[in-house]
Amino acid sequence: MSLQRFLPRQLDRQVILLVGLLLVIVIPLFALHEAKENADRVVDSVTRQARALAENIAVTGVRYVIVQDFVATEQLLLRSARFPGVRDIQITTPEGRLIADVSLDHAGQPQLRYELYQLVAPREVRQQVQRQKDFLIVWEPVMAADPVGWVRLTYSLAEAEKIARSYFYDYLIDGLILMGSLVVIIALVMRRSLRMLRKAAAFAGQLKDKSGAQIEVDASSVEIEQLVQALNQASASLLEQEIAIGKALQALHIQKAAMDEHSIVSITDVDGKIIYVNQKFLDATGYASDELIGKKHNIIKSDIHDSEFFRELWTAISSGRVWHGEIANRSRQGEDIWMNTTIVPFMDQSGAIYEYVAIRTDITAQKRIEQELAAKAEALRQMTNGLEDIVRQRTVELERANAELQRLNRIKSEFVSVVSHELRTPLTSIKSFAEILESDLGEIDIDTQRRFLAIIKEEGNRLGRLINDLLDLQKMDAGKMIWKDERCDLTALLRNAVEFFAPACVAKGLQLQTSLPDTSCFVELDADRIKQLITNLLSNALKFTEHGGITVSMAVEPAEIRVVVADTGVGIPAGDVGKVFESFYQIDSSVTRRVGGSGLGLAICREIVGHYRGRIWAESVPGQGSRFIFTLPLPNTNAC
Amino acid sequence: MHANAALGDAMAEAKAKTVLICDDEPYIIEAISYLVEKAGYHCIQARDGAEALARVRAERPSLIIVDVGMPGMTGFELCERLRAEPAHADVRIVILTAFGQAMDECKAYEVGADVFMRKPFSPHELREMLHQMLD
Repeated sequence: MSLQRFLPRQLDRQVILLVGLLLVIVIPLFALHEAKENADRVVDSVTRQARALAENIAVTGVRYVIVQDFVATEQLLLRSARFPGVRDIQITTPEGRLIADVSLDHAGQPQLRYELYQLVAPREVRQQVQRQKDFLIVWEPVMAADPVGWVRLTYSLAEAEKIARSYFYDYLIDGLILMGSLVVIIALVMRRSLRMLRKAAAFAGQLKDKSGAQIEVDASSVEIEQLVQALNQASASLLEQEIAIGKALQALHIQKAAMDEHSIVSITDVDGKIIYVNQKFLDATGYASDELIGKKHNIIKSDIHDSEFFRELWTAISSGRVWHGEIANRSRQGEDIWMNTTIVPFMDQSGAIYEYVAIRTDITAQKRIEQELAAKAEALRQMTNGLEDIVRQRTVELERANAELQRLNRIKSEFVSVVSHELRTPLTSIKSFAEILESDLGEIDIDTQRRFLAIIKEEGNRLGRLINDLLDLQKMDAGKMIWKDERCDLTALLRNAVEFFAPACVAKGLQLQTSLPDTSCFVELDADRIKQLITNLLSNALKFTEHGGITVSMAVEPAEIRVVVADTGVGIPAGDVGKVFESFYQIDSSVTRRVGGSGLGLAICREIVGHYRGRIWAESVPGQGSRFIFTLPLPNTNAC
Repeated sequence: MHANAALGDAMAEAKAKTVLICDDEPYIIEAISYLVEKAGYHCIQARDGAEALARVRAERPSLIIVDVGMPGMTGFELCERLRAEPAHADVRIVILTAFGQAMDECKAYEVGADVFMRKPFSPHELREMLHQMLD
């Protein structure tokens, strides 16, 4: 670890350093080793030269030694000393005593030396080489039949040393050149990879930009190629992700913007504290953003919902379910705002809820409309019920009216039928007797003729009365009657009418009584019609009464005059009291025929009384008599 | 009795045909009676349905001339009741009424009348009818 502190940070330098260190150690050792081997070979070669030279000197010098020719021996040594590397040459006796001695002077020239010293000859008689530090000593025996002496050759190894040294340097230089070349080659080889690596590193550094850029794969090594490819893929993938994220974010942004445009949005944390509200939320609630953020969401709670409502809401959303519903919230101004609300719990990957997003729509207006509609619907329903009642009532009324119309129609056609019948009946008599008289005049006696003519006259009168009554009734009914109202005395009118019937009552044995005011009673009336009214009533009373009498009374009351015509006649069956004022109502036709009458008298009475806004009705006990009562309203100017 | 009544009686004996006239209008009965007797038939009268029914049962007339609008029993009712009695199944019935509507004519034939006549009638018409029915 600590070693790394001394290492350079860059990979190439580390490699170069390590390779350099290795070579610095290896190359000198190698050079040393090679130099040593070469030096040994040179020493061997020099040794062989030295031994060969020593042998040659021994072979050549043996005869000079035997003959003791010292000069020749010295000459031989001098010559031999000229061989390169020879430092000195001695020839000794077998015991080691010097015979000749030559060595090189400072200038390198061989010189004879005459110093007397004893050398220690080897014990064995054979060539021997003694290796010293920088020279060799070769002992070569000088052989005749017997050993006659030794040649001792001292051979310098300086040259060998020099050669060995030059080898060393050569190797060292070669090694250094090799090392340099290697470093350069390594540097060159690694430079591409490193450049690639650096590019890759820089590229990796730019990955965060998520530009999706790619770098060219300069494949210097499989690993780097893989690395770069991986980086390229990562870059592309990052760009794709970035694009995807960008799109997603954009979509999200648009959606949020859209949602903000439409909805009232708030977000709370898991405890219900508000962490976000949009502008619409603020607009709707009337709060400012800083009044809401960090507050509990129930700040806008209204008192419309009970605690059970909120308990259910919280149970739903806190268990991760989406909640939909309508909530009334309260604005800052204290107004209740109805909101159609969706609350979505947001969960992290572990499933823990971290916030609630509430999306709302203001439905206050809608609610108000709903309420108004409900109220209106209720009102409408009530109105409809009322209408139904009215319709039902109207239907009943209409049915009644329709029934009445049908009845009236039936009455009308019955009336026409009855009228035609009533007209034809006297006409039949008139026509029959007239035709009989016409055809049989000669055959019929005079009394019969008179009788027939009397019948014709009577039936003619009957027809005339009927037609008059019909016309009167029709005129009154159609409102075409001309009423000749004038100031007349009602008391007098009544009295006159009663007097008119007096003879008939006397003839029939009936009592006719009156109960009339003593004074006059002036009223604006059509005297003829009032006379007709009273006459008709008296006529009826006379017709239907066989015994007893008729009483006519008149009473003046504050607002009206009341007239009663009472009789002791047959009376009217209970069910028919109301019908007697209808046209052609006859209880018993036989009575009617016997007493005459058109069957229209009471109908005309009703019309006359009705015209003066009075009332007319009948009261009767069958068998005991009838009372016909009519009233006439008195004007304020009471003249009675 | 009128002068021509004696002639009527004589003819009635010869022909032995009796006609009942039922009407609540006495003048009309009188007129028809005159014409029937003049035509030579015996004539009996009734003022209402009940009386007519009694006389029909008792005197078995060949022809009945009956009004419709009468007190008590209408001519239609009388007709129905007579047709209900097998003894009077073959009696000729003439309805003579001042109700002259088609409905009344239908009703007349429905209740078993042989002839429907309207008031007012002409003596000639009545004579024709009598001959047609009785000869």
